[in-house]
Amino acid sequence: MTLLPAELNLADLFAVIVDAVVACDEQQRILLFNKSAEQIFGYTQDEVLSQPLDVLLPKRFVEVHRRHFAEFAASPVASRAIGERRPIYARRKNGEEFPAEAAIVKLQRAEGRLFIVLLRDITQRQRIESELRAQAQQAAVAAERSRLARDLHDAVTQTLFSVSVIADVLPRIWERDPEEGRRRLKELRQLSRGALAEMRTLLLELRPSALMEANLSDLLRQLAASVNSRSGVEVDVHIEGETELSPEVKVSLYRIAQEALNNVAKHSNASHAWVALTTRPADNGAHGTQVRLVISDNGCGFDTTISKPTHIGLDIMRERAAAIGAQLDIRSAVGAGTTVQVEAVL
Amino acid sequence: MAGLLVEPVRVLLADDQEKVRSALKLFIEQEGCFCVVGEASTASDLLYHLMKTNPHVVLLDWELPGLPDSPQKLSPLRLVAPDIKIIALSGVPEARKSALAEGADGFVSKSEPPENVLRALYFAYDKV
Repeated sequence: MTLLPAELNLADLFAVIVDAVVACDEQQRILLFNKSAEQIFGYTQDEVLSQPLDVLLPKRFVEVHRRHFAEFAASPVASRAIGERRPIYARRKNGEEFPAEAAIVKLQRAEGRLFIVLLRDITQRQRIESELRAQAQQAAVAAERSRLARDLHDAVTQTLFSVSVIADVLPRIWERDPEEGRRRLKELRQLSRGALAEMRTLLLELRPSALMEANLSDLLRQLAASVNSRSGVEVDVHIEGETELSPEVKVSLYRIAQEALNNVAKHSNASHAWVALTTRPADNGAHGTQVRLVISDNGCGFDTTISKPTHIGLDIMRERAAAIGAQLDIRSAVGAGTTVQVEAVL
Repeated sequence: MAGLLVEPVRVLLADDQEKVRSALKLFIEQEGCFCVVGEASTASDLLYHLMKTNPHVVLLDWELPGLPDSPQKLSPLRLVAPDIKIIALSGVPEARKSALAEGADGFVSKSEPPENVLRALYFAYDKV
């Protein structure tokens, strides 16, 4: 303490602080108003000396502020931070409100108690924070959009390009060889149906709520047509039983089928895949419905004992199954295709 | 284009999608003066067919899996077949600038009318 002068001149200290410093007495009459306070609030010290602190607050907060001030004055704590969790609002001379953070300290003096408020204008900081938030949000939206654009390119563009090329040349083919013309027309029909399925599958990604509303067997047929169009893998869909499933179960099963068929298209080199959905009343007379979804292919398979980065998809399927209380089983061996089976009693 | 009368232009198709290759083959061969000598679905496939089939022109999917990233996309092809004409075909119209800058002899976006593919083929062959 010997380093400090006997009587530290608080006003000199406050003059160099960048935060607003306002000192007041127990009746909340302003006794000191530093340079920064003058800049932030727009009042000169002379204008506010002896005025109540209320002049620095939006009118609607005056009552509650008085109460808080009285509570703090009566409490044993010496200092308190204000506006840490959510900003408080203060008022400039021109009436403009601004967000702020503040701290209040009380000092016991011979003449009575002195209250010192330090206040920081956080308008700028809030603006930057909200800009950063908006930027992060925009980046996420942009990333999602470019993923969809890539999917559209990989799927629909390729198919429609093929359609347009064949359509262009079809009249000449027909003239020369009507049989070949008919074959190509059939191909056109398949390609355009495929493009439609691919587009509808991608639209589901733009509007996931549609997944919950749609019928699972329709969704699986559409998915199969879309995978066939994109990859050329023939996908047969077999549906047994007509039980309505809850939206969560439907979405999870759809996502598992989607992931499994993606793997078929990308990694399996299969020519054929099968999707089978069976729903029936649970065995043993128990209540509920037994659901089984099986996705299998005649592709190259893989060694299930070796973990590869591409197997992350398998973990995601497991998590999805676990989330609806279903059992997921993956059987595969090199050269023997892959079977993914999800089973649950709901 | 006197060469056309002597022998058809040998075209190699490189696209990862079978339906695209099949449609292009049908389309190009209808012209009579082009002959598809090979089809490749990956970059390594393409290099193999380049060496084996000795084509005049490659119709190259700019997004073909396995090609190096831009601006090195064409370097493996140029290494194997320095004089080959390359026509880039892309689902992304904005790829035109980089494709031409990297040395492609032509560019056709998959959203353009198909006859532009023929136009690009004729144009490239004229330069052979």
